[in-house]
This record gives sequence, structure tokens and C-alpha cells, in this order.
Amino acid sequence: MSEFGKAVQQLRQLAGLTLFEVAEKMGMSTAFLSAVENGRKRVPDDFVEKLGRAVPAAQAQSNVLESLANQARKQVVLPLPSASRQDADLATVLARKFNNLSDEQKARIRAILDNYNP
Amino acid sequence: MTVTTRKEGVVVPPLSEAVIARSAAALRKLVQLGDVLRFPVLQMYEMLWVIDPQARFEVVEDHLMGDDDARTYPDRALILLRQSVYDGAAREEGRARFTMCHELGHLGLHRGVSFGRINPSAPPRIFQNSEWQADVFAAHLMMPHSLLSAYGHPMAVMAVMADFGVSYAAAETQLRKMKKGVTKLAS
Repeated sequence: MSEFGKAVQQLRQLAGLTLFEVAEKMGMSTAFLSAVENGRKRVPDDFVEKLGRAVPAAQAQSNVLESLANQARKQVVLPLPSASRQDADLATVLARKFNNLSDEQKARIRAILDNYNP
Repeated sequence: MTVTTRKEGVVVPPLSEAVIARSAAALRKLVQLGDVLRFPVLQMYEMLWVIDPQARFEVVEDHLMGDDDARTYPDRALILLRQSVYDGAAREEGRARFTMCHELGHLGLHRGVSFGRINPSAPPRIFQNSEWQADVFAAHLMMPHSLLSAYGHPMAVMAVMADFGVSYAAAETQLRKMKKGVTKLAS
């Protein structure tokens, strides 16, 4: 869960609102809101604004929330629901390595993957 | 290890109905809902940390859940709910509410428990079945004996459905158990 997701969930819960109530007020599905909170979907550009309408306490924090949302947009969350502990560890190691790859290395990986899965 | 709702279940250490009912009652007491007829399951899900500090839930698009209504990963204290189940519970559908309580059972009863595959040639006793345990937990969480005992009259099923927010099947089963004295020993 991203810092942004945690903040959204906390604001919602402090306001005594369920995921269902807030999703309804924001005009999105419960699955979508849940995915944004848990970092499985990219935070939409108008999310913080909509949240402010659904959870008034979020309005006072909109600057903080926007900056956390920007941070979250730079992350990718990889859901591994049935992964073993080892699989999850491997994914973490790969993610850490990814930041150190050169553009040339990334291009080579991409070429292999695209070729493998045309 | 995943526990998938409404499949055959896996073998877990045995728990009696009385022990399961007591843990359901303890949860109700913890969230100060001992006397509330209609268990507020959506609100309960917003405070899963009461059951486990790490616990959380996610609502997932139906097409990502295959045939499963819900899945609980006790080792990670994670509950996944099919969107139609979560939304159904929000609309007060008894069966969806029961499913969500059933998953709470897995979370509360099966965290850190080791699971075994069922051996068809030596089937385990019912009280070793993870699904039976979670169902019993859900039934007692939604219809504790202390509140259900006022519903002894012949037309009670409909009243229980309306007051406790449960399906016909769940109301009928729990009332039948009450008449047999099964629920009382648990209180």
C-alpha cells in the first residue's frame, strides 16, 4: 500500500465512511477505489479533487494529498496474490535491480520479452 | 496458502462449535456490538486491525476473481472480496453479508494455522474443516444465541432474516441448531 493509499484510507475511516460510501460519492466502483488505495491502479488526475467532495476533511489536506498522489504515480505495484514467499522476494529483488539498469540493458530486456510474447 | 470460500475446504486443527461461537462473541464484544441485531459487516471491515494489526481487505473486479466470491490469505492477513459480494453486502444482501463474515472467520481462526490437503480415503471430521469452521463463525457472529433465543416462535425464520440481515438458509439453519440446543452450549 502506498503512502497515498494509506492517507486516503485514514481520512475515510476517520470520517466514519466505508469504502462503499466514498466510492459512491466519488462516482467510481468500489473495486476501483480499493485498487487506488492499495496501489494497484494509477491515481487519476482528478482523484484528490473528487475525494475532497466525498470526504470534507480531505480538502484541508489537498496539497499534501496531491504531492503523495504524484509520488504514488511514479510507483508500480505488482500484485502477487498466489506468490510464495520466495516469489515475492524475487519480485522485490528484481524491482530494486530495475532502478540500476542502463537504458541499453532495458532495451535488451524489452526486445527479448517482446520477442518471447509477440 | 489461500483459503477459498465455498469450496471443499482444507483440514485445520479441530475447533468445537462452542469455541468458535465464543470467539465470534468476543469479536462482537470487542467492537461493542454485543446487542446489535444486524451486524454491521462493512463497518467491521473498516476496522480489521481489531482482529489483526496487519489485516486488510481489497475489493476486486469480478472478472479477476474467477469463480470465487472471496479469498482469504491467512498468512498475510489479507481478504480479497469480489466486487459484487462487497456491493451486495452494502445493499444488505444476506448471502453477501454472510460471505464477508465467513472470511472474518478465516482471518480470526486460521491465521498461522497449518493446512492439510483432504485425504479422500480418510475424510476428516467436520470440525476439522476450514469451511465448516468459518461458516459456524459467520453464523454465530451474525446470529448469537443471546439475541436469537428471543426468536422461538414458528414464523421466526422471516423475522430473523429481516432483523439480522441473513439469508433464508442461514436463518433456518441457525434456528434449527438453536432448537437442538447446539447454539446454547456456545453462549
